[in-house]
Amino acid sequence: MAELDDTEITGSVLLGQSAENTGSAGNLWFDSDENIMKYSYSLEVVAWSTGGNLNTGRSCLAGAGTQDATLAFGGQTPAAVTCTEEYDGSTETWTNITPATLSATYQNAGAGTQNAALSFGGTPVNTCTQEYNGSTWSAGGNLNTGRGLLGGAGTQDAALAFGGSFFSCRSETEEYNGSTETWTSNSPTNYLSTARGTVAGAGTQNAGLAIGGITPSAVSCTEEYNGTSWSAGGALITARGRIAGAGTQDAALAMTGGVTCTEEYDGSTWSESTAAPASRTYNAGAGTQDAAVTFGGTAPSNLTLEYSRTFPTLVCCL
Amino acid sequence: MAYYHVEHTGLKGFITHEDNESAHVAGYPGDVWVTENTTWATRVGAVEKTKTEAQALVDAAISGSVYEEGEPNAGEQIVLVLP
Repeated sequence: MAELDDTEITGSVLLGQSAENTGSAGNLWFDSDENIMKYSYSLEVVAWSTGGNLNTGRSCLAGAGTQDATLAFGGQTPAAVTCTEEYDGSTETWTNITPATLSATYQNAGAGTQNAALSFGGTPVNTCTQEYNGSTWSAGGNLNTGRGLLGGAGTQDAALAFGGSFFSCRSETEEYNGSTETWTSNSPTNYLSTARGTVAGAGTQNAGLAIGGITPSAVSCTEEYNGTSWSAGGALITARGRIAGAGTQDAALAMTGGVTCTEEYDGSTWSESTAAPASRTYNAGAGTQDAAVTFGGTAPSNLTLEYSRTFPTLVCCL
Repeated sequence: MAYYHVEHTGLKGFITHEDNESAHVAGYPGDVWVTENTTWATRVGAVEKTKTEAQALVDAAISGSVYEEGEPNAGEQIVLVLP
C-alpha cells in the first residue's frame, strides 16, 4: 500500500492521520504510522460508580440539585438530624455546611437546587417548610397537611408536594409559591389517584412525576401531574417503595427501593437500565436521568452512588 | 360514591387528567377504586361492588401488613377504611 500524506480530504473521511485523530466519532482515516484504516465511533455507556461518602450517614433524608452540585439535608441516625451537606461532583466530596442547621426532621422531601433548595414535611406530621439559600435555612410557609414519607418535585419557588404517610397513606397534593411562601391544594381534583407513602418524585410543579411507593404494599404505579390533576403513567417494571427518583416527567430515573434494579422513564413506559451495585432503602436522589446521584439510606448509610450515561469515542481498526 | 374493582393496566392513560378533573378516581389496595366517574369506570371495564364487598377486597390485600416503627400502633395490623 502506498504511503499517504497527512491530508484531510473530506469532513469525516481523513487520510494519513496519526493515531491521535480520535477526538470525535464518525471519522474514517488511514493511520500512516500503523498502515491501517481506522474508524472512530461513539458508544453509549450507562454505569454506576461510587462517590464520596456523606460525612453523616443517615436514612430518610432529602436531596436536591444535580449530580455535580447536590444538597443533602435532614434524615435520621436514628435520631432526627439537623445537618446539611453539599456535594461537589468534580471532587466527589461532601462538605458540612455550618451553621446551616435545618430544624431536625426526617422522612422529609426536597426540591430545588444546591443553592436554592426547599425542605418540606417530615415525620410524624410535620408541616414545616424551610428554604436554603446556599448558606442558611429560613422558615417558609407550612404545608396544609403535615406528613412524612412524601414526594417532592420542582424548585424552591415552585415546588410540588404529594402523597406521604403517617398512620395512613396520603394522596394530598400541594403547590408551593415561593414568593408568597404559601402551599395551596385543589381538593380532591389534584390528589393522587393512588394514596401512598415513600413515593419518589421527579420533574417540576407543572410537570411532576410520582414514582412507586407503598400502600402499604409496594406499588408500581406512576402518575403524571400537569399542574391541575394527576393521570396514570406507565407502571414500573418492578413495584417498590422507599425509592429514590431523579429527572423530569419525560426522562425520569427510578433508583433502588429495596432492589438494585434501575429503571428509566420516557414519558410513557419504563425500561430496565444498569442495576445499582447495592440495594438501598430510604435514600435520597437528585440529578437527571443521564447524571443522577443517590445517597444515604438504611442502615443508616453514608454511601453515595453516581449514575451516569456517557458516550466515549472508541477507535476500531478496519 | 361508587365502588369498583378493576386491575390497573399499568399503561399510561388508565386514568387521564380529564378523568380526575371530571370526578376524582381514588385507588385502594386490592384493585379497588372509589369514584363517581361512571364514564371512567365504563371505559376501563371496572366492575361495580358494594361498599362491603370493596372493603373486603381492601382488607384481604393489606392482611398481614403492619404499621412501621415510629408510627402509632407500630407492629399492629394496618387498618384502611374506605370512605
